Amino acid sequence: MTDCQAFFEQLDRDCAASDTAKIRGQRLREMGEGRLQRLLDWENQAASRYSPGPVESKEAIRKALFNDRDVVDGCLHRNAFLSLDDLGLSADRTEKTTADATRKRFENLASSKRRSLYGYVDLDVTFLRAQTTKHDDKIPNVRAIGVYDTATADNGAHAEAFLIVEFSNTRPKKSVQADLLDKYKSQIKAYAAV
Amino acid sequence: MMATMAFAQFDTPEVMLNASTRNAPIYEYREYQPPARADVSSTEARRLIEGRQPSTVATPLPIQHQIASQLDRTIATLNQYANSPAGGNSSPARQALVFLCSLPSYLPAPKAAESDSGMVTLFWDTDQFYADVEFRGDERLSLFSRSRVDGANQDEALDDYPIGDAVGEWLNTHLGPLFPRLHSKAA
Repeated sequence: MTDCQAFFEQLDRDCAASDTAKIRGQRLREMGEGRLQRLLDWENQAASRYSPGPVESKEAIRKALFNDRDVVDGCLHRNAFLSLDDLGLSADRTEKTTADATRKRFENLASSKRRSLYGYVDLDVTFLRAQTTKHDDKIPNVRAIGVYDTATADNGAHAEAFLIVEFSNTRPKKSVQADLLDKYKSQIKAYAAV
Repeated sequence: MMATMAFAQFDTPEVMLNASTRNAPIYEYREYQPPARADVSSTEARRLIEGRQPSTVATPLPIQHQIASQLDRTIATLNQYANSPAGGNSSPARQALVFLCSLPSYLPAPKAAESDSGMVTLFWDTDQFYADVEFRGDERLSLFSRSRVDGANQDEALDDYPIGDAVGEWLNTHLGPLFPRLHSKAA
């Protein structure tokens, strides 16, 4: 088992043991010296024993969108990208599963969250990995988002994206989320009613 | 002249209901006076905040949904959040309602969203700007805005600002510049 797998499996155990799911992103960003390079290296390693392999930059990951949280009256909201900071932005690798299987998972997720499912957005992993800390002039300009193959026993296509840097204040963090909003606001897809 | 006339009962649902109960003509032409938005919003929102039952109880008609303004929809959404099991007198939704009432009339009505953690956000998004104001139920707000004028993004953020102080000039400073055309027209 690699360090990367050990870290994410420990993270899953810790989160399952207590209501500390929000610390996932924070735990990634608190690994001490060499943290950023390690997190970048881990993108090339399997983060889960269930994974079909690391997420390649040419891939897309499909994220569920819920009404009144991520989408309001057809408008994408910055809420859709809040989880980059804490819980981890959860998505399915489109090349590793089928659209129907993903929709089924999203519908189950909506039921468990008591949310209404709007649809989805496909995020370009290259674009995610191209985001930097350019909005924060108090820290070096480095990559801001990491994408990992956090597959589960039930979903081998599962992936997560995280902010991998600690910004000096909230504005640059929200600016990164706003960049994603601007990029994807016109690309959201609504599921047709069954 | 016709352009300035309107069906009076469409001004607000309350007007229509009052007209019906008084056996007034269903269609009554009169000089159209745009509803005073601040008055409508504050009356409606304060009633919701104080938890009183509306004076007239009726099942909303489909057409009322269709003609409801963005402000009406946002108030209804916030009221729904406030009445959820997590809602309460100090809930994020109720504090968002108070803030909504304080907005100057020249600002378009925002949309409302709720995060998984219960944080309520009011937001605007047009070609020229994006702005959101977050409420966590601690009597404070956080603001993020992005001006997209001339293709260049200019971002601003403000954290943990007392809601009660976010009035008057503060609104002009942080939200007014995002609506320059409407703002100058109202001034």
